[in-house]
Amino acid sequence: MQGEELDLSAIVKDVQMRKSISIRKFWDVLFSFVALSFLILGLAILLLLIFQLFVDGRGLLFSWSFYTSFPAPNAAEAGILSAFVGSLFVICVTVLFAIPIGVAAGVYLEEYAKSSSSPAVRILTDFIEINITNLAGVPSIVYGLLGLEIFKETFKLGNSVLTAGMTLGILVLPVIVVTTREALKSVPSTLKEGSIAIGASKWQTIWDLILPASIGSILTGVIVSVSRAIGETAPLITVGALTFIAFLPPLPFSDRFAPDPQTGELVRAGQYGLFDWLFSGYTVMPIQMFDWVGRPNPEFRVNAAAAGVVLVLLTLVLNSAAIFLRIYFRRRIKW
Amino acid sequence: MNTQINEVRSDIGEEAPAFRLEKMSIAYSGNVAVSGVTLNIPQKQLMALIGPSGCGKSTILRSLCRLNDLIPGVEVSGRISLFHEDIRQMDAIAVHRRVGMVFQRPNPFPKSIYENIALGLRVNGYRGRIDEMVERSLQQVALWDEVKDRLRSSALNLSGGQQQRLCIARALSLQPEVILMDEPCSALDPIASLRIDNLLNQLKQYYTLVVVTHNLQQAARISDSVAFFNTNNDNGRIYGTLAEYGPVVQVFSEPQKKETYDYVNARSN
Repeated sequence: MQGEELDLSAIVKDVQMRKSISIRKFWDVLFSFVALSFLILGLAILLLLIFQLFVDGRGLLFSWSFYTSFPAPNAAEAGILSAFVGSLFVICVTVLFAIPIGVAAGVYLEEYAKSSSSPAVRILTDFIEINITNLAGVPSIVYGLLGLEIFKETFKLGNSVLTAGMTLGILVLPVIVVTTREALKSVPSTLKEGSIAIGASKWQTIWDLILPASIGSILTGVIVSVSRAIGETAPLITVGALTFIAFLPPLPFSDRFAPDPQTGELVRAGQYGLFDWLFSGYTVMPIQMFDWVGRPNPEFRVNAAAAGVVLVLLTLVLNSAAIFLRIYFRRRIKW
Repeated sequence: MNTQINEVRSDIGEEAPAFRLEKMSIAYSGNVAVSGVTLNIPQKQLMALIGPSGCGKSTILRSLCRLNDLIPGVEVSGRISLFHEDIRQMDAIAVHRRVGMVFQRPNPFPKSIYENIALGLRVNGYRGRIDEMVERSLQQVALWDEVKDRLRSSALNLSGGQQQRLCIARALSLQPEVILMDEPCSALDPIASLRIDNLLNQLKQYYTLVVVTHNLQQAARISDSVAFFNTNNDNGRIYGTLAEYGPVVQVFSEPQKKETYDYVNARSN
């Protein structure tokens, strides 16, 4: 710096370097075109697929009876009522089962175990961390076997909405744990320190500040994983979803009918309890589609395509809700 | 709890230090950051901690309110006493309650202005009128008139200087015995910074304040006493020690040590 003179003329006169700018710009433009064309290709294939579904299923999509009918041996009369309602009930159980457990596990791993003073806990945490990430990638049919063994065989819950919901619940659990941890990680440490500094306990810090600040990202993760669970077929086949169901799970406190012992006619026999729907048989949208596609009668393909469009729309609605929530909470909280 | 504190405080005179540090050393997973600090921090005065980067000022400040507990691998040795009580024998939450902290970058909670102060009262089980306390704390930092019409709007919409005053109000609302501040003005513009300085000059009549600062003019403006920390190089390992401390006039105009003289004059020239 002091006294030493730099030979600036050599740098200024280097025309070679300026020439290379135009070459690099050319590559820039070229690559952006390549990337764009692949993007269009990918999107086009997807859109074509959905469009094909729509065209195939158009005969039933716009008829109201498709949505209000149970499955039937005749393709034109078969509808998705029991499958659609079954999907909603099963997802309800999944959400109620997986959110509390997943979020609590994420909070423990991120906020408590990581700062534990005991090395054994920290080693265990690292071990669990690696394995949770692996669990998120385990094929879904393996979870089906797990659900079969635990819920159906051990707890004797049968072919019920509860078995299906909890099986899908353990399927999405790793994803919820991982997204919860990521959401908690993104809360700035200055916020935690500020809270500790006002004398808040760890739980108060988590409940009053960290969870409200990260709830948007947690919900996004939950919704994305739930919309994945809605489309799952394999684990539900394993735990015994039915394919032909001409009844709905009983709503709480709805009237229950039973055959009269003398006449054999159905008569009112009291009310269903609050939780009877949990133990009802069920079918879900992807299972219903799977059944229709596999039938020898090609007319059922129309039903399958129409059900496919409904499933795609359902996922679309859920994902839009996730995006909306993310924007809503981001706007409220900016760092 | 409160009666206990009062008993302890009643048997010490006005002259007793708020904090007494005896041979305190702090290490991060074995690497010494600060070594052998013995220092008395007087009551109801403002002490500035100054020194070059890496001398451990902030580390010491964080240890005084046990914020370093959050970081695994931090070891504090020696003794830190708050009004004759060893703070490491005390419950960590009790220390946080009695020793407030204001951070370098304003960190209001992502909640309303009102809630920023009310939350601290609520988590500590305050039984009085929260509304009154919010108003009083905001008035103490001269923020009340600026925000009284929008108490329910987000604290994150305030300017940087307002946010920092809100953070000071948040600390004041808990009626701490000591307030620690880690470069409270370094993220603020000169005007906002000056307002904080004026505020600190008023607050030091009622509270014990410890302020880390890189700004020597600020240290001269606001402090009663100054502690100068210096970095030492022991075969490539850099750690901080307390070089000297005393009344502000003494440290700035008649420093006892050459390194203090060099630091104080290199910056002001």
